[in-house]
Amino acid sequence: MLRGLRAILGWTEDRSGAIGFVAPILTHRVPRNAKWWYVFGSATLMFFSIQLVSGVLLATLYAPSAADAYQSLVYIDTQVPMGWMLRAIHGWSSNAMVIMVVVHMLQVFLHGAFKFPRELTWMVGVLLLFCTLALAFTGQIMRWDQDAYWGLGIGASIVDRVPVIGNQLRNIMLGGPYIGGATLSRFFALHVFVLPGLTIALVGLHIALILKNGVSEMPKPGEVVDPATYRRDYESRTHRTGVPFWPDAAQRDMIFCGLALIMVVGLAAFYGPFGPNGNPDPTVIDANPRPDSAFLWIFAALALLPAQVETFLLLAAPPVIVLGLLAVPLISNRGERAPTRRPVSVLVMLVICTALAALTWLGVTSPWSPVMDAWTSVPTPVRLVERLTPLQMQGALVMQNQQCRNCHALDGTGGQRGPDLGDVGSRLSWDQLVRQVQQGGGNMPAYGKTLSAAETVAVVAFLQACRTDGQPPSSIPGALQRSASPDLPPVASPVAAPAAAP
Amino acid sequence: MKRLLATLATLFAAACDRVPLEQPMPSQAVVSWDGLYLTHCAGCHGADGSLGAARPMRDPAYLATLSRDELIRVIGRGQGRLMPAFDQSAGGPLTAEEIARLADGMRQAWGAGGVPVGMPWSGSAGAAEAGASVYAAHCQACHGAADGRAPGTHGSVTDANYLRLASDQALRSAVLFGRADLGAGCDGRPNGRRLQSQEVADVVAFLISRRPATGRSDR
Repeated sequence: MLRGLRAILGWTEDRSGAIGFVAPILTHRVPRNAKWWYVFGSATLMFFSIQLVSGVLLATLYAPSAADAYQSLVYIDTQVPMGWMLRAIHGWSSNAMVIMVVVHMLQVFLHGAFKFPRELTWMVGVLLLFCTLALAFTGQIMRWDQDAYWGLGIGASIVDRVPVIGNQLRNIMLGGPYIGGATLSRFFALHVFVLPGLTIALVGLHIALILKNGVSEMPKPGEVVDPATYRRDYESRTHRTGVPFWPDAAQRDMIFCGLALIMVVGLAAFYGPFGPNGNPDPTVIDANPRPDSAFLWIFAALALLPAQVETFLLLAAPPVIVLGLLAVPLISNRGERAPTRRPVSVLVMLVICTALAALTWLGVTSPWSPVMDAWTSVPTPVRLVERLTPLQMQGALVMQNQQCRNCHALDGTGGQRGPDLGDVGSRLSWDQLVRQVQQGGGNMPAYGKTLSAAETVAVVAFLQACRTDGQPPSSIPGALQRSASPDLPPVASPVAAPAAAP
Repeated sequence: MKRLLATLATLFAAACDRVPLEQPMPSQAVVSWDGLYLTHCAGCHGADGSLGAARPMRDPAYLATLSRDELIRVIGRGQGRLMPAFDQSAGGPLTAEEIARLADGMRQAWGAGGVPVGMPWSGSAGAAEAGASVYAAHCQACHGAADGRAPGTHGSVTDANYLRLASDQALRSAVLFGRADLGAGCDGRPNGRRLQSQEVADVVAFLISRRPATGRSDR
């Protein structure tokens, strides 16, 4: 029996050379001090493998058509045994993969492991980072829900701003001028065929480069990289003091991967799959779409960009970021590797990490987002209600009914997208309020065509009553005032009838 | 190290039966009536059913006069331009069952002990000419002269824009029930007594007659 098996194995090895190919890879010598810092790359690869397996399984259940995608996700979640777990693992593992790529990259940067002779390894790694992010983005599109729809909308409007060829690029991206069935098919092809294929090829190249140039040692202050002598020194050191990858280093990788896997499966089991969050229907305006966690910082940055530089930064930033990351080893590929001897690099890394973390936090909390149910759930402050006239009371109702409160707070309650209107009556005159309501401006839509004349007057009368106690209404000195009599026609620069005490 | 790993593995295995590996089902979570109120009504009708921009629901006389079916119809189908329809069949967010739960909840919590005002919640308008004298006798002191010359202490209700926005039923409800939550004298009992049925119909007709006929109607 054993002899038969050995014969088959020998025959296969003779014809394929598989063991002869894999054995040196497994037993190649790695530096002895390459310890727990070096597990993140392997964990990334493990999560990518999970993505491949779970992705193939999901592809057998998912219907990549605009009409059926959403329902097929609901079907996977609710009808397929453990289908929800499959989606949850795919989603959580995707997040874990992005995190691991970033952590791996930070570790490589911190330890100067991108320096000679591993420049190309870093560059391929940068491409893998963007492949991972592209997989995450296209994966979000696969959900085909509100987040997907609006994420695509934002992506398309960014592409649209490219000078001269913007429209053509957008049409290529969406498969036409609008988001539709062709869009999903395109992103499905990208997510399922193009990007995984590209990633597998790049992972292969990345590993081949690692095997060729060896795993970097832990940096030591004073141990500088000199391209003239590095290879010879590295080889003699690893030959002298190195340990075989299998089992010495591999066991640490396996332990870390195992723990990371347990964590991801645990998160998937407890928190379940991501989305789908609401139908991708552009007419549903009470949507609060937001991107997945890897892109929250972009979401925040886009929201906070000043309007004047928006287009420039939207178009200039991506190539600068990509080229900047690719160029890191070209800027400095020799000298000290220890973080303590590279204060500028460490500082740059810390600033970037802090900025990303802060933007992500802002993306999570997003104070600029409308509160979609404020119009029915956040009451007009009682201090205002108690002193409103019947007309102003109608104006307060119009405020609620037109969902102004979703963006505007009164005395701190309501949306924070626009300014708090609790004291707007002492800041803006009647004319200014009418102009703002009718014409909008400063990110506020124009309500001139939405509101009737009576509604506009009522809203403005209410807004003018929104003042702190004792404050007079804002008015232009010397201008005519509105007659107290409601039956007389309003004249220039009117001021609402004085608020009555209850 | 091996011992640590073994311990971790054992702990994880022991925790397995606690992982909620259950199929999530599309379920409509049952929300209590006050939860529904806070989400869908409090914005206009006030956090605790009073002192909102729209009429208070914490009004026993109102809830005793309005029938359950009428309340459900108003919630579901809306009223005028400023009370939106909440029934899903009318484009709103609530199911018929939720609307019924909401109506019953409000009637039980806020309608207890309410005495009906003795006339129907809705009714046809009366004679505007007669209403003018009812207005002068019972409304003018607070809401000012109908010609706008004296504004009154509580703001005009004959203002053209106000009348364009207030529905006929909103005017009738305002006359019948007032806004007791806004303080004494606002409870629909001018001069200490509730108006007669015909007086209510007449004064509502009078107010409606003051509504500008030209231009876009907001009712």
